[in-house]
Amino acid sequence: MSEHPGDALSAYLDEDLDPAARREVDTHLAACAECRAILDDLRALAGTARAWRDADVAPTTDLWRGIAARIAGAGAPAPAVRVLPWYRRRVSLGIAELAIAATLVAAITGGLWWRRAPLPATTTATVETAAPVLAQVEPMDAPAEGVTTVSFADAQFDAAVADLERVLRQQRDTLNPRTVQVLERNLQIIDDAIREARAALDADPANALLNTHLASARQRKLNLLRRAALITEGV
Amino acid sequence: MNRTPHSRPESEADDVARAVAGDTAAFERLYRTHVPRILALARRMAGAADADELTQDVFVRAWQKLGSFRGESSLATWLHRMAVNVIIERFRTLGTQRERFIPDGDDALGRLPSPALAGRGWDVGIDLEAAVDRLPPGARSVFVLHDVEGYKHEEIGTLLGVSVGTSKSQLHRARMTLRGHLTQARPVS
Repeated sequence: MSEHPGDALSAYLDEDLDPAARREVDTHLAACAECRAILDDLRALAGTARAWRDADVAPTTDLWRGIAARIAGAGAPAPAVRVLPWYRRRVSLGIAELAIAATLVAAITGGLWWRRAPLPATTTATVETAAPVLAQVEPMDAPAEGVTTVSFADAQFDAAVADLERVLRQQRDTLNPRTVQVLERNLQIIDDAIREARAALDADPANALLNTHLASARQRKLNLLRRAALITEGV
Repeated sequence: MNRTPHSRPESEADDVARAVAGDTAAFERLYRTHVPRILALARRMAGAADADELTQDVFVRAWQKLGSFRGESSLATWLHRMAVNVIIERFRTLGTQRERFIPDGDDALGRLPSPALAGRGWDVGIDLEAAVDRLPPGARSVFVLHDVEGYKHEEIGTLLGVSVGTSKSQLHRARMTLRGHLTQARPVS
């Protein structure tokens, strides 16, 4: 008779053995009454364990009072991400990630110039009026009007874009001309969309759809710039 | 009984939204719904002595994190995962790293000649709970997570910081030890 299967007996029970190993255990079980008895016990144990899952336990003491006291805390519950209306939701744009990428690119290469025209001077001033689209984290008991914004502000957004554009200007000649052409054309399309959205928001600042559209366009621009910066990093 | 619109039971999603906005009454309703299952899980994983406090920890954590609940799974599933994490964190905090697992070769109890337990009518949650209480914390976690809660070895390995192989071998040793305890606890009539 072969050796007792040991751990493999549980794996056999859980149908977690490959066919060859399973056949070995089958062969052993056919000759070993002790292991067959163990397997029966383990099977019964597994059934009992599964049934145990459904055995809920009602509290015998009032646990809620302690919980209520703790979540009331010293007057302010712990911060949590507030669920914003859909038109105000934003995914974090990873400014730190962008900054790191830009820094890496700048450190690795330099001295070349990307001749793309700078953004119009009015861009930054206009963006700063579009605050409602930003992701925000605030204390759960804070009044809606008193939102504490701890994410990046528009000025930071524009700074990140400016950094990446500067890097790309410096690295333009290291990129394939076809890549530059595609990049510039796409940036132009996105800039046009941003410009149009801002113009429309000037006339209708509370329009949720326009806010979302602007946010989406700005996200696309950042993503495109980030990807381009990472491409230059690999040159 | 007459029902006004105000007496209509709120849906769980409504209560989640209210709780996220800081409504503790809504959160209490969520607590009342889910506490039996979380308390049972805490008892299985950590024992009756620590279960109440751990359950409170779980709901305090849930209050803090409810804003991150996106409804991609049920609230029950979300709470269950959170509870497992809170309990395992407690094990780590309490320094229960030592003697967490059953040493290799220590399944002698399982080798004691004994008639099969199958069909002997164990009292669910009584015999087994007492036997599980005698397992080392790590082996207990592996057994409860796998055999009771239905986790995969890969998930258990990640949660406990052990290899899949360790999870598998500890599961077998835990089963064999439990078999031994249950055999001793229930002499054959």
